[in-house]
Amino acid sequence: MSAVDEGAVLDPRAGARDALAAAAERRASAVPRSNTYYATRRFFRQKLAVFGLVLTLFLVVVGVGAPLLAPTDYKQNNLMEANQFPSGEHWFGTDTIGHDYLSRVMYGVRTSLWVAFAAVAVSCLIGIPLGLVAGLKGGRTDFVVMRIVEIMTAFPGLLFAIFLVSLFRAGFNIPVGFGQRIPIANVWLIVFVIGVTSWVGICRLTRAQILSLREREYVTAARSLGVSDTGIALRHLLPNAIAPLIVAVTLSIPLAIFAEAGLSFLGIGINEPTPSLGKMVAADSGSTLRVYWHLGFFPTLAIALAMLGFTFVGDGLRDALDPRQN
Amino acid sequence: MSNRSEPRHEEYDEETIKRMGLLGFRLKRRALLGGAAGAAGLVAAARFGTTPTLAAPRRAASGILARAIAQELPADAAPADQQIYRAPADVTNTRVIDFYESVYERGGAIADLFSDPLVRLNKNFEIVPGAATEWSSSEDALTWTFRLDPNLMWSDGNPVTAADYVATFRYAADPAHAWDFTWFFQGEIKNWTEVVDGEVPVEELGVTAPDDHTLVFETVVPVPYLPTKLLYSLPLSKAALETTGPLYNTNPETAVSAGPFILTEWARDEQIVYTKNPDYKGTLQVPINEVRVKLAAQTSYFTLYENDEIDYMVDPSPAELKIMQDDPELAKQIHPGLEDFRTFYLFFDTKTAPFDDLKVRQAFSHAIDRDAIASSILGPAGFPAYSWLAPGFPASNAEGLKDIQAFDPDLAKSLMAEAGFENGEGFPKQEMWLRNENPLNQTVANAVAAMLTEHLGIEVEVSNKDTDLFTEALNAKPTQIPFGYVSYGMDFLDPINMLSVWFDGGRHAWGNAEFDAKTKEAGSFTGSPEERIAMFQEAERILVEDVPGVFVYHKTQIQLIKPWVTGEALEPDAQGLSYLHWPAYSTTSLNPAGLYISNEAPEGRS
Amino acid sequence: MARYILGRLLGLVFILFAVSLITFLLMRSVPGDPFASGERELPQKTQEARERKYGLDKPLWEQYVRYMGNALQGDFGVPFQSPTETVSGLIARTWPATIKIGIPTILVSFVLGSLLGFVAALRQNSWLDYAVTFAATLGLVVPNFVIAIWLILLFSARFDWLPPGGWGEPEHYVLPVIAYSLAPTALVARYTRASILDVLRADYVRTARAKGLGERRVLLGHVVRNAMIPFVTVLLPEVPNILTGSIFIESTFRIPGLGRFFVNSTFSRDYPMILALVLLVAALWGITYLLTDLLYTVLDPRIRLTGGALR
Repeated sequence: MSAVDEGAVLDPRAGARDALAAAAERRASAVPRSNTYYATRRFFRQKLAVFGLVLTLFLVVVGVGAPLLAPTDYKQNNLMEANQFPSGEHWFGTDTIGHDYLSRVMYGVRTSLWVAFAAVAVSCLIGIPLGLVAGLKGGRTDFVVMRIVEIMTAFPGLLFAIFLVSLFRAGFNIPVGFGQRIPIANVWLIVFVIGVTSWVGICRLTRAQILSLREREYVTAARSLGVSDTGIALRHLLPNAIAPLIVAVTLSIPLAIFAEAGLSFLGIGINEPTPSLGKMVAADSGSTLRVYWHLGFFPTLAIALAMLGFTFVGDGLRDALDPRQN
Repeated sequence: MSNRSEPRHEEYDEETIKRMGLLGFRLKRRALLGGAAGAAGLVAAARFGTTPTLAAPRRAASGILARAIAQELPADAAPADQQIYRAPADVTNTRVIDFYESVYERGGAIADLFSDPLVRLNKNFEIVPGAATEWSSSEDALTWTFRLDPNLMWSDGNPVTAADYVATFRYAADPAHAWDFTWFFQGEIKNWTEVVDGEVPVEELGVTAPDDHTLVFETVVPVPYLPTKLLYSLPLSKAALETTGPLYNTNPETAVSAGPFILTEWARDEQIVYTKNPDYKGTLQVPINEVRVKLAAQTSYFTLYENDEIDYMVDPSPAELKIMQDDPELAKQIHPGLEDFRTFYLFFDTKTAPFDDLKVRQAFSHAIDRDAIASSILGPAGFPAYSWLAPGFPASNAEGLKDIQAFDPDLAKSLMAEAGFENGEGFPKQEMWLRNENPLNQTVANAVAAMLTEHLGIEVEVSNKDTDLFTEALNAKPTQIPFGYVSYGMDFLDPINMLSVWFDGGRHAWGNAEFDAKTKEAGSFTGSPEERIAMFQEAERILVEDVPGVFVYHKTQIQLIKPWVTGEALEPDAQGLSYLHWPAYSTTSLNPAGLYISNEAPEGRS
Repeated sequence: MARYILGRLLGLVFILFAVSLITFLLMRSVPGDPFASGERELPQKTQEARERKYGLDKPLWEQYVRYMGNALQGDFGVPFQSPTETVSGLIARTWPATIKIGIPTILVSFVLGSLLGFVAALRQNSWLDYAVTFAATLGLVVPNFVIAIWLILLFSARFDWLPPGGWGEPEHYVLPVIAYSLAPTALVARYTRASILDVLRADYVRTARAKGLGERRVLLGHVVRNAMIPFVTVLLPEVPNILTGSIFIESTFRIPGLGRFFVNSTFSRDYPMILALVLLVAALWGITYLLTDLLYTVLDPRIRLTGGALR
């Protein structure tokens, strides 16, 4: 199931992405390692994929370069210039406390991309090792891992996310006592929560890949030569399983951006004054947008571009890496 | 402070007055901030408290309170079947519709229509009779006697008697019931604390009924302000309590009312319908035949309002207010009012570094440009605060305390430097806790954080927490909130109520023995009201000077009222303001007395 | 087959218990007092009395055992946020509204999605194909609550064609179903297109064509049947989510459904309600997945079920 489980809750389509992973698993299709050269060629032959890549690179440049490119720092505001519409001075207008909104959106791209990448990294860090171990060891280990996966899937991910955020929102409580709390930077908390609720899909995909690969001749050969399990996993299995994982990861990034938006909608997202696209699209009600349309329009545009970019790149990668399509 | 007997605000600063003028409502200079506001109420309350003689029956203080006799609708009224008043209530906050089940989650306080409290406040904040016709206190001010109106009837045919009140207070204090408002009478009504703590049986509570129409309260200390507190004295029916149980008013089949309305429908999550109680014998004049409470999320009130699905709402968001202001016709529907004299403020854990240093707290207090917040964000929804008690509230001394926490970024910087945090260096990053605030207050908090960063060079994050988390962390001992932004509004019209928030061991991690002593002394002071006020003002000065809180703004409640809602309740009060007043008619206690629907109303409202 | 199903059901029971235990432990470690709503701190004794009244003073394990024991007998307790009814009553009252939005959403997504995907696949690389692909991607790029807000701004505030929210009349369904079904429709369209293309290229279809079977019969015989696969793959896993409602959709359109309780219950620390909802979702999930796997065997004979108790 779930490519990205929080999606299962935060967004209806997540489950469907899961289905993608599930379908891949069911078909147990072996994706033989593609020649990188041919894969690259196949990728660049697809116009939409190239368009997506350009979009993605553009957003990455905006995000990474925000401190250099943005007109002002994201914290800098002028209350006397609050709620202005787009103008020559402020291309995207200003927000309710007089931030330059272009700068906020650019920094928002930075935060959202960073959070998404970090969250997906967290889910890979949990999902890939678990999937590897389950697929490789089989037997009891596999049984336990798969039960954990099922429990995670059956658990309403939105509740899980809210629990985790609430649990650590007031800081991390030292179990030893003293009632002291270690504050956790709020951005890290969001990254952690999205990562922890979305590793299941990656885990299942890894396991499925390993299962289909482990009986291959070269693996059997390596085993008969006395290569250790870990060695086999790292040297032979993982590299061969990487292609579908890359696709899954690419398609997980937009879901993580959505997850952050969902948390923001519920008022438990990233703290002010750090801007994020999710918070910007989610925070303002309909009546705000009726009056100050720019507050909703620009971040929505940015989030849509990010989604388009990553989705097209992900689709393109899948087609490029999966020879059955050609 | 001076011995001024009345807070005077004539000299309230020009800038503020102008800003209030932005409200777009008729507002005379003395009006909104005017001395008349709470002063009248205060004096009234204090007088009742200190005059141990029988007060003359104060019936018919205004038309609203005239006994409802043959109610003929005014000439411009809509037909009787269109006398429907529709107001919203927050669906997530409507656990019950019963005051004694949950005071804080009773969805717009709509259960308060089922009986009359002993006293009410009129729209000039004067205390006037409710179910009690007269009341007096003993020489030592420790015993209060209320005479009940003998005509009041429950809709099941029983008369309303003092025994109903006694049963109600016993139920409220019952430890097994564990009411969320038990703090209210703590340390005042005799044996209340002991009963709540389960040490003494409920029968020994100091609320007794010598006869059917006499109710006696015994207090532990002199409580000169007891009558104002007894706004919260809605009786439950003793008979219904015994036969159906305490939640009898949540089901139309078991509902019993001695108030102006009775429950006829509760479609959960959708609407609550109250119909006029034909047997109502109380003091309110109620032309409205039916009240429909639309249950919705607060964020959708404005949509309902625009769609003509409700006739009234409060606290529109800044954008919603702008939509109303930009249209001259709609602008007429904006009614700002004083609500509950609410003050928004920053608070600190003053027992722990870095906020144990007065200089740091003072620096914070001088770093916030309230005027900019008021003009750029609040508009008519509030005005700058430099002290705790809002203008108009008894003992308020806004003008006299104005300079202590004034905006002065240079002073703020040098105070920080003196405290060892030059340009904010070495100052730990702060997280400002908010208690589930609305968009307006999130914006204010963001602006405050930006000012702190700009003027003090420190990092401040703003985090809007859910109420349960915030409240538990706030009340924890020691508190778990180093720094936050919250508000408080009055429960009853006496300075002791607002000031007691700051008692040592109370809501905030701050303690000042002198402040506590002065406030408590003033609280049970039975001498001249002027002297009592002066004592409270001394206490408030200590509070403002020691900066356990940085006062940001006093709220003005924006009410949107459809043009066809009219009547005596909306005629200008003594300050010339036309709005639905706390607590008798506001959301806090939605009571459409003194209102009717005019023939301007569209047909077929439901 | 019967053995397989029985095994799966047993597995489901295990999952339900595990999920309930995790939920219980998690929700009780989340800070926040379920009854802390007031402005003033409650007296200590009142605080304790409250905990006694709601059974929160007992040891944690006892509370859990007691709750699950009652739950097995169908008693899920009284919701803190609505003490005048029961948890089961509350769910029975609010779930129908959610289902009434959920079923049209599923139908629209499936019918419209597969139609679009089908057309796009048959006209691969035509302008029609590009248009469908592009539109289907657009449906995915904005969160549904954002779509909901813009829909309201457009169709209610601007044109006044449809109500901005509410419940009871047929027109109240239109905007929520659009906002809710946009993303699943887009997904179904994408998957249908891909899977039909797959089939059209497959050997058995080529063979069928080569054998001279008419285009129409080829399509009906093989292709349509394969169009069901996206339904099972993409849409069925969504069913538990759609049928338990979305806070985003329900709160934006003021639908008196179950969706908002998922979030409100956690924010108000409504322990009995949280547990009941989690169990509900987990059970729905388990049943849906069992169904999915059974449907696969029907649709794709190449897939065989193997005996394990759990997948």
